[in-house]
Amino acid sequence: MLKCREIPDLASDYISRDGSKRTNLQVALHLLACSNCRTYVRGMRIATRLASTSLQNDVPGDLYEKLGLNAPDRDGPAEEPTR
Amino acid sequence: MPNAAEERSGRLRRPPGWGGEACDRPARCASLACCLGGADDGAVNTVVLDGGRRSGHNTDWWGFAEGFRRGLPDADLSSAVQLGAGGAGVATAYAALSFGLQRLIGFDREGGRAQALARLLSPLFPNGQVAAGTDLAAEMKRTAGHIHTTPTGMVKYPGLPLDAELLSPEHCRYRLFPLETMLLKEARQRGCRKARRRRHGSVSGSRRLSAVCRSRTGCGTDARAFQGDGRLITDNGSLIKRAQGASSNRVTETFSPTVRRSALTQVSLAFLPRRPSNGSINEHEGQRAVVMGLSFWLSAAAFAIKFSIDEHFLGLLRKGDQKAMSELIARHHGALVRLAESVVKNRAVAEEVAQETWLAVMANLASFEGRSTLSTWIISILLNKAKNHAKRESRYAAFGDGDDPERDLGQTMRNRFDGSGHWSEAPVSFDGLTPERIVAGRHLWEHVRQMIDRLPPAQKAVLVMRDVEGADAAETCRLLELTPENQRTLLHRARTRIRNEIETQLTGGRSALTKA
Repeated sequence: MLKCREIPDLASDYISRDGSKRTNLQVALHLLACSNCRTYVRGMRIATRLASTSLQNDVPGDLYEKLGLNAPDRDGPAEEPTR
Repeated sequence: MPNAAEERSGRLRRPPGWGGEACDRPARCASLACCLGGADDGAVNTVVLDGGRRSGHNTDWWGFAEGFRRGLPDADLSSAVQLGAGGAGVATAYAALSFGLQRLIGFDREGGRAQALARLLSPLFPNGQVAAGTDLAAEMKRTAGHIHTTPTGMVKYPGLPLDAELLSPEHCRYRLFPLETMLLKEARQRGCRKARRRRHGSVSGSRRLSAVCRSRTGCGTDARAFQGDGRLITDNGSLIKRAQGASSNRVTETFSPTVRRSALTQVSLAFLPRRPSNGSINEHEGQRAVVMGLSFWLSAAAFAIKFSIDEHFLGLLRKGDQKAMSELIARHHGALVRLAESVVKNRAVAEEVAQETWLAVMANLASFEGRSTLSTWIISILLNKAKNHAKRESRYAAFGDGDDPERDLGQTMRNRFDGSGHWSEAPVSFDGLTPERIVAGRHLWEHVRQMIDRLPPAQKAVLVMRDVEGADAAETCRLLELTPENQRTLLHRARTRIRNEIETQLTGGRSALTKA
């Protein structure tokens, strides 16, 4: 059984399924039993979505003009992260 | 193979509440010895337990016959060579003779099996001729068809079961084992017609279910197979999805909700659970099967819709739709600038590179063939331009992780746990957090954008590729020229850093992070 202190090192691999199946299973079993680690891993998932949305619509105002295009009617991130 | 037979008979007695098992190579023939009732053709792939009595059934021949009937309806049935005379070979020979093959010549590497096949089947088919062959080359020239039932060509047994020169386009062939073998490839290149095993698994599997169902309820419940699409529908109406990529010969995977598979080496075992004593179809398992089926079709529909939208969007871009192009730029420009910056190490230059990239994309969209995703194609253009730029200014350096003060991050994380390895303070929950949340006077997304900008170049590039552009690990490694291990480490550090910084923002710097 994994200890809580090992979870942060494995969380990234776990959420993107990059780790081995065995390790992912161990993490999943630990998460079933530990609410703090669940909170940590869920937080990492949300952080990745926030990272994704934060770079949406980050376009300098004159770029569209330079490319001969009209700017879309938006301000800020295009979409909100889903949980 | 008496040991296998004994092993199997021992296992059959063990699990209470199970109604039968599926047998696979090499135990098909061996299983016959365990059964009181034998299959018509002398080999067994399904053993049904009923009241302490075992009866053997062979559903392979039926699946094979159906596959042949549908795949090669006008095949020349005058004569055929069959390679392999084991359990599967008996089934295929029985099926071929059943639907009118006049002459079958068997060959098998194990001496005596082809003769045994002839002895077994000759009395059953007085109008046909079954014989053991001695000269494969000569028989291949004389006969019209070729049936392949050996495992040669499977991953464990690579190669061809016969000299490729012996294959001629006139041969119609049927193979029983893997989905793609060297033999099939060679035959296709030489223009041979062939019937594939595509339908064999589902048809044979349905027969297996049917055999067990009849035994369990005595009501003659049958199962029908829908060809080719992997779905099976039983008479009670429950839809059962077959796992994609599952071995078609394993009824366990075909009926995954209701059947389990043991991990016995060499022999694939499946124990079908007995039905409830009231004789009704197991409703709970039926419902689970329906849910699995529904979720499969919903996922497939979602994928189809996404694919359709992407195609539509690409079509608009190719037509020069300005709105679509603006949308594309809004989606990707921020990520492209960060990627370029991690190569050229300068924001203003990165903006220039991104702008050049968009010009190149607009000029070459018509030549985009769709062999990669659109975003991958755009990123490839950007990285090439960024690298050329950096090389021109002698600033180019391959991504590494030497620029990351990992020790600080590691220490920060270690401080969050007590001596027993548990959290000394619970992590802050991000539930309900949206990019629009105002934190410290600004939107959260503005903070996160700055956090990404502060990441070391390699971490930033990997984070952008994986989490912003949605590239997979292999694609990220290829485009950024990283090893898989390095990529994983960089992504882990970047994500941990972003998560920790968001947590610090939310707690106003009062969290355990500040203990570092």
